[in-house]
Amino acid sequence: MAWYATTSNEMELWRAGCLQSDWKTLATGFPALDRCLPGGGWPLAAMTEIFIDEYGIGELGVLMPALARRAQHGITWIAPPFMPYAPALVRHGLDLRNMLFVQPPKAADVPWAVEQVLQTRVESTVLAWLSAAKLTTLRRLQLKIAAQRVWAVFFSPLIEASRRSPAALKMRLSRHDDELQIDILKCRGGRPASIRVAGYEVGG
Amino acid sequence: MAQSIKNLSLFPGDPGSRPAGRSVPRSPGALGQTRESRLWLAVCLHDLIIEASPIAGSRSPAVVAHSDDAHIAAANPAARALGIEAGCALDTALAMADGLQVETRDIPGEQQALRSLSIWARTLTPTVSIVAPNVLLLEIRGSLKLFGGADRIKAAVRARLLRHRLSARISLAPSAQAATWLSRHLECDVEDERQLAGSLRALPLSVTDWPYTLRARLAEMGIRRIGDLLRLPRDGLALRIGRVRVQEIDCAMGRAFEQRALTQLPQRRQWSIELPGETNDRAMLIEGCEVLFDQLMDELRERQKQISRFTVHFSHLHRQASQETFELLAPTYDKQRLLDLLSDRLERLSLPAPVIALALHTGELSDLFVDTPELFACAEKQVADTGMIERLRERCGPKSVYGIALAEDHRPESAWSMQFREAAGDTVVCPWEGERPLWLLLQPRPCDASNLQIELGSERIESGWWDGRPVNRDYYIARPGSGERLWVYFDHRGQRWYLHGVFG
Repeated sequence: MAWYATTSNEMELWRAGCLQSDWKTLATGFPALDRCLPGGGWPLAAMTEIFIDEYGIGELGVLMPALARRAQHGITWIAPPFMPYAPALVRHGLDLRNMLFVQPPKAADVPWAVEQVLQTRVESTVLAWLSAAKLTTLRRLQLKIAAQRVWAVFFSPLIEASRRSPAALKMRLSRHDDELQIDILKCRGGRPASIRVAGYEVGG
Repeated sequence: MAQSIKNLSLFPGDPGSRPAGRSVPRSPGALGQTRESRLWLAVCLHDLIIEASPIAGSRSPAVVAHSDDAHIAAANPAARALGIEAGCALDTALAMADGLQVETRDIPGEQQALRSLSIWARTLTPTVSIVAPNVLLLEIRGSLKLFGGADRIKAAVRARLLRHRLSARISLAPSAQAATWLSRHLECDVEDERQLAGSLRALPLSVTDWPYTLRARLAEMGIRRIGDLLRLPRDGLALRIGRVRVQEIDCAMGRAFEQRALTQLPQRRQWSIELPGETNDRAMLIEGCEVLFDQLMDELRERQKQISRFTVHFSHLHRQASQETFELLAPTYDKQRLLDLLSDRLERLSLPAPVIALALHTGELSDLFVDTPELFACAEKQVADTGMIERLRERCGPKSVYGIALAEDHRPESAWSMQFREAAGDTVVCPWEGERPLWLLLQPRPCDASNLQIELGSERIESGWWDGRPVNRDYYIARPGSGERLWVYFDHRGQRWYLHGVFG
């Protein structure tokens, strides 16, 4: 079994049994969502992928309570589709001082920019908007995320929801009238689930 | 005080000179205290013409010729063995030696070598002066104690010269002029002023930089050494060779006060390197630049400076050189940071042609200022952050990496601003009360209001008449039918509907 021991150390193989001990989470601020997530919140030091079809359905609102509590370590926004509006961020309790925005000119530069930030900003928060990211790229990022204990949230188009990914948490967001539907597609240490959050709770 | 005034009045004429140190010849006691405090080290790079040229180290006969007239400026030992001397015509030299290698004199290169030596010499003493074309003067009295004696200082100079493959004669004297003259002819240490006249006497007139014709005329009169000059009556000598040169002799003998221009350290520096061949290879370019960065770092360390801007010039054959400028977010003395920036830039850069030589030009150097932070780890993090931001800017463009801050303004587009440098975290009181969207469109987009379902309204924003960008708008929160909520406004000035934000 010697080969197995070395592989598991070097390759950061995930084994279901030994996971829970160092599983750090951050409460989402939505009790219904917390109940569905193992550890009761967003997995820190791991990759979270959110798949959406339209912007503005509450994808930022669902992160805001947690972001407000993580702001002191720095939040980096990479390739956001629009400008996050400073007055609204302040109203949600975020500290603008440690915030950094990066707008790579090419979509291909986004993973590179994410990597640069991951290398430098330990224990920070990274929000990035990816499209057509390769599995190998995501794997590399995942290793960095774990090593640097970064809370990383990646947004991708809905059609990519079925691709393979090393993310610890994959969720799909959609809007149904006045409610935000959250479908947990994959969740390390948990089960897929669907919940709905009232729109006014996450809406802007 | 009265005594010195009396001395002044005794000095014969010449209102233009500074006769403050003039005293009775050969009476060192008179102004002993002031002159005692000076000790000059002269470094004469006697083979600089050859050592700064491509024939340095060549064993076959080779000469360096003046570019304007066809005369030899210097000959290497092999050529000298064949009888070729400096000053002889190039044609004659070519006739004397078969296959003689001839190079043109590189005066800027010589000056550069002397200059970089003078900058380095500032580590030994603050008083450094260049005497054209090949002598460097260092006043070392004040440095003797620190370095442990003149021999140690000389050893340091020799080590530096050896590293740069320069040969030199080093002499010590209480006056700069004497040290210069001595070093042009031999190596000798004269620490005592009383020995000065004796040591200078034997020097040939070629140690002076007087014109050749004057020296020839003096030689015709039988005057071949400094000692011969000293024997002549002073007034007559002044008539023959000029008062300035008599003054020069006085300075050398330590009888007159001498003024010397100190070398000023340049605020900007440049280095260049020729690559072994034309290349487009990134690794080779980086390697070349690393050599230049090493030189830069040496200088920064010696002068306690840091750099915040630099330009790399790439020379191509038969083309104009291309250049790349790098702006740093904060001044640095960290070579790795510069290398990171450079390799990032080279990765994306397509050079118009292969590169034959590299040059590094610095912006103005700034004083090294080391912050003493309260928390060491915090400062380290800051530095790492700065490096990261520089790398990101390098690749994404300077305007693509920024922070944000609030601004006190009712107009939604002016209620925040991009921050490209770290700003003081002022607390801004936001004047608005209404709901604000998380996403803002940088450019409001015209939209069709007919299929919008107004949910909440309206908030009137009418402001900005004072700075030429007035707004008069009614803002609403609307739904386009599908899930998202939009922030739209009716512009009363243009009578149109616009989309301005999306509630995330």
